Amino acid sequence: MQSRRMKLQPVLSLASVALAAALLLVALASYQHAQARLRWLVEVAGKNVLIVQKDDAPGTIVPPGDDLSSFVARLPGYLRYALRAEGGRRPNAFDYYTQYVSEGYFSLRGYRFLKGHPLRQDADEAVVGFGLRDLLGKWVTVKGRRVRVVGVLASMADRGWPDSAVEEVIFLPWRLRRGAPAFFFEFASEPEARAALAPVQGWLKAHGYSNYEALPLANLYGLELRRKLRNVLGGALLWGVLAVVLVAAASLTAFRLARALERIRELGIRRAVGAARRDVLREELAASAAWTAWGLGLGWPLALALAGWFEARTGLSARPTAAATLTAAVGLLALSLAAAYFPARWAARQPPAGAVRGLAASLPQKRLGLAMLGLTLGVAAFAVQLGVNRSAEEHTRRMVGDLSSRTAVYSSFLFVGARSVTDPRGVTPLTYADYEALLASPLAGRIAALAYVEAYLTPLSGPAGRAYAYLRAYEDPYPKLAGAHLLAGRWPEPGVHEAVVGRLLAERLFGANDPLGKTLQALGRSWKIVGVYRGAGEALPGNAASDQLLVLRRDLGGTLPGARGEILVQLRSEAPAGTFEAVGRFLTGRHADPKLAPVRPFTRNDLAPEVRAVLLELAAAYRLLAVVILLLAGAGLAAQTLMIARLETRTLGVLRAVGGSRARVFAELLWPLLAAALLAGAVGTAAGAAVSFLVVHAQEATWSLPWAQLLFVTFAAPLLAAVFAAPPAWQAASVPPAAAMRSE
Amino acid sequence: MIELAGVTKVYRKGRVEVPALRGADLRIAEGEHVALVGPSGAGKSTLLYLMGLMEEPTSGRVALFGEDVSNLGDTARSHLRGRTIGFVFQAFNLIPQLKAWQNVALPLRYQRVSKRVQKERALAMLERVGLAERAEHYPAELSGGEEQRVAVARAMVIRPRLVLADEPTGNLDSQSGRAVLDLLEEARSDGATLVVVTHDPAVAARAERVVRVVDGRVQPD
Ligand SMILES: Nc1ncnc2c1ncn2[C@@H]1O[C@H](COP(=O)(O)OP(=O)(O)O)[C@@H](O)[C@H]1O
Ligand SMILES: [Mg+2]
Repeated sequence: MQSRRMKLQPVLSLASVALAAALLLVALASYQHAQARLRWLVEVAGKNVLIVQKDDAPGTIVPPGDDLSSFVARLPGYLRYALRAEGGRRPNAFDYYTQYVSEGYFSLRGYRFLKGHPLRQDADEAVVGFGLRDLLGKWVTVKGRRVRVVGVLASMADRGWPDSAVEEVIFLPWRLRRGAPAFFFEFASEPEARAALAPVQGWLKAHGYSNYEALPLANLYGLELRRKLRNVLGGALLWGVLAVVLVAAASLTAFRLARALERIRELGIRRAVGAARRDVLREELAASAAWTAWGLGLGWPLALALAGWFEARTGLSARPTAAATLTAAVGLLALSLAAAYFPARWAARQPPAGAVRGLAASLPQKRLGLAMLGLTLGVAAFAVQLGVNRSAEEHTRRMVGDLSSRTAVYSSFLFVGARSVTDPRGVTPLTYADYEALLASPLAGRIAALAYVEAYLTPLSGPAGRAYAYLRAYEDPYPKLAGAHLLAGRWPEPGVHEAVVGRLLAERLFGANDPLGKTLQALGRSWKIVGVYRGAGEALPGNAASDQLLVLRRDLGGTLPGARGEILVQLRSEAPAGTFEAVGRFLTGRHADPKLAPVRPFTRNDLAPEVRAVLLELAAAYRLLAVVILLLAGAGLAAQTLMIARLETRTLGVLRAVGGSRARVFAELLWPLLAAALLAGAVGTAAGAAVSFLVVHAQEATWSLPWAQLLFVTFAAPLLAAVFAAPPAWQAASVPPAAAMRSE
Repeated sequence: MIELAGVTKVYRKGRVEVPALRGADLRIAEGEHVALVGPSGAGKSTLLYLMGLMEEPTSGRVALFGEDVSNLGDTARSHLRGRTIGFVFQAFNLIPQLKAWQNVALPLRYQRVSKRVQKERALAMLERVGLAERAEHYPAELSGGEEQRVAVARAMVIRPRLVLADEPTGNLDSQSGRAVLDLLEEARSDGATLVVVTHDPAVAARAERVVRVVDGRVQPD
């Protein structure tokens, strides 16, 4: 019995070290991969480019010309520029959605070609977006002029919103342009581009181009938003990894201390036969390093297996890279040496006489306390992680919009009544009639909520300023579906021409004044403002962004010219897969025009696909870290329980010898552990919640306590203790009394 | 050779103070065989541990081999202990994870002796105590008498100048006890000094001098 137990213990210690090494490796690797994803998130196109363009305020303007270009060319870091003019922004004034571009425009914007080549400025040539790829090689008539399509751009759908808008554009030579130019100035670096911003703005102002604005192109790609996201998500990630390391350190220290306690008699004997303190210290450190080396060796394949499993389930790689391996190896070694040092020093300082007298065997409370230290830290780290993640997720949701994943938007990007859109890929105009038909169709049974809204681009003016904004005329429950939250006042009543205004628009029109009760002129009548709302996300299709005005559609008395119809659909949770597509086919079928592109559902995953993807992957990484934390805390606890049980072998033998049953001894061993674990859970949860509060505040995000989860965490500790400590406790309780008494 | 003068030792635990020695004076000559006797709790073990540099006195002077060791640092004490003093305990104090020969070789390990020589000398010592064939066994696989012989081998393997034994026969039957004492006395033939704590009159009778310890003091002869 004795020798079997003697062999089992190193195996278990080695297994837990290997497990710790593997978990640390996987945690570090997933941290590294997730960080790379976050870096990728902010690697947007146009970081070094300034755009100078007409702002969206109404009015005719005289655009700047070569005078601007030659001014910018003298700024430090300037590389080159390109020009673009919009051919199709104004209602009913186009045949195709066109853009006129100068030499070098495609390469400056980083648009790659799928087929063909850029257009020649002096020829009648055109380039088309990915959506119009069928036109390659054909002659088409655009604005009364015949041009040949010589190139097709690669699809931009995965580059984010501003680029996917060029999927259905025809690019024409700059010499044919109508309308105001937009300037794209490229600089050698992002700081130089940013530094050029103020001089350019100053120049525009000084030369009277008040309707022209200069901004970093990256702003159009939501760079600021992405940076914030990266900080929030990266911060949460870092805290997760820190928590893992902390728990690993606590578990290791408690483990080494338990081991030193267990071996105190042995160390005393070694001291008695001549080992100096530093001999003992050196031996303990060497042993710890050796364990770590073995653990790393065995942990590596385990980490690979874990990473493979994790990758298969989540798509996020956790494969240890060379850098992660090196970091984990050095880190674990340092950690294990640090964890071994203090316990070993303590053990070495015990007078050998006391050690051989067996003094250490009378410190059970201390041992239990130590065992619980790792668990308390584990629970605290877990709670920190939960709190920080939760805030990161909420922050993210606020930034990228609030449409639920069961909601899709069907939108006519072009305008109702603009039937002159004869392009093969023109978009189906959606109307109120489509909405009514959908309501009456069998598909309605799968739909939980359905809303119709019409968007009108309209000039607005208030005491503090003017704006060219979207007015959305809606049918309930549009605000709810689109995720608009009322900040003040109430929603409009029908029949009395009331409106609610977005927070940003209200600021622009009314400044610091209270907009409630004021009136606004739009679409030929006046609207009384009865509420202010906060919109969700950016001005994407279907979203009620904060720079818009909402009114009831029935107050318009029918659809007006210039409307863009949108239908929002929220499915029942039990709706079969493919329902979104079925709704799209239904709407397409109602127009039955072979020249129009089919109506596609636009779900929130389409709104900011790469941001969502990163978010999903990071959520997986967070979960991985949480599991790693619990496993580390648990494994540490198991190893310590084993040692406590071994230390108490004599006691257990005596208990058994005087008639204690195996179950009774088991319970006596486990009870104090469970009670202490409950305490550890409560203390850890409280500490973790407090720390997460501080962390979240430091990140300037709002903190909300995930009560249910915290409660779960509190009870996770005793649960963990039961699961991990029961096997070694049972093993100890199963020792035949005779063997226990014999053990020296 | 060994000189203790006015040695006191007080154990402290929180506010409780337990005086184990209250001013003990003792001289033991080189090569002498001394038995320490006295009632339980008198301070015999404490006295032995102080001589063996296993503990430091609260006050008083301890000199070994003509040198004051009261103020030596840990490394020097350990060095002296490991090379010149052999210990035998009542409870054997073998390391259960180590084989018999490894237990015997343990002191050599801290003297930077090569592995090969360690094993050679350990096996030779086991041969001398009659346990050559049990070299590969773990302590739990040996009888009490055999365990104590392994412990004696461990004490002898360094060819000590001083052998300290704390009730070495206390856990043994009389026959095994005699065998252990025979082995201890063999060490004296190499010129070692032998101090044995005991309350067995038969064991004390084998010593040249019997020293009585009562209530933390050494009784004058
Ligand atoms: N570590 C200790 N802490 C407190 N008291 C101790 C300690 N070690 C020994 N004692 C006490 O010191 C006294 C002498 O002990 P000891 O030298 O072992 O006596 P002996 O060996 O003569 O039986 C006893 O009263 C004992 O209780
Ligand atoms: Mg004693």
